[in-house]
Amino acid sequence: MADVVPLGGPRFRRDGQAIGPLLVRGELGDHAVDRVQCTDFLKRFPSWGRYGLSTYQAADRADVDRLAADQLERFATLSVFSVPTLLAAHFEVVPTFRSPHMTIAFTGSVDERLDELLFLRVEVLPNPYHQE
Amino acid sequence: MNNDRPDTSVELDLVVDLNTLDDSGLPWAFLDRAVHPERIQPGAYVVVGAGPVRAIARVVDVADGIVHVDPLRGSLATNAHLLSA
Repeated sequence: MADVVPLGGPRFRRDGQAIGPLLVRGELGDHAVDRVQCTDFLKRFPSWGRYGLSTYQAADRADVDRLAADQLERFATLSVFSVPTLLAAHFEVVPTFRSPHMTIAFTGSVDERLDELLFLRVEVLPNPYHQE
Repeated sequence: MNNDRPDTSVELDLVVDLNTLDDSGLPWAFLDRAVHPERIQPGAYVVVGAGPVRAIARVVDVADGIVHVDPLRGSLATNAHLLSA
């Protein structure tokens, strides 16, 4: 199945794989930092018209551990989200760029939606693979 | 396990969300997020991150106002020798 690249938007993967059920992101929680990251995504991909935060999908705890040791090794803490919970709260969860990268996308008030997102975290984990 | 507080006393050269990735497979940032734009040259090693996160990364390319970086594994101390004085 061909990937889709909207003009001026991110590349959406159409690899036919099921999403989730977990998403992992490093160091969510500093509102000012997260706000910059959301708005930079919209600035870079304006035609899609959504704020976006980068995350990585995991099938289970073993996947979370692998991400902690690899893509997310640079983060001291990891935030874990449940995909069904995010979808129920009207966040979009979109496979973007290279697997296992996923974008949590949303519209509306960036500040209010970021606060919601923090509330929806199911877990915050220390990263045992991180080195200061 | 390392539960030490992050060392945010190390000054950033470029604010980058190291969660990000695009079609290059690398984290990206706008060049205008650079604290020290003069250091953001392909091949240079710089301090990147956001909030409490710090890493040393190689600047891979700079084009159309977008910078791609390749963060190094390991601690800041391990890689600090790569930074220019």
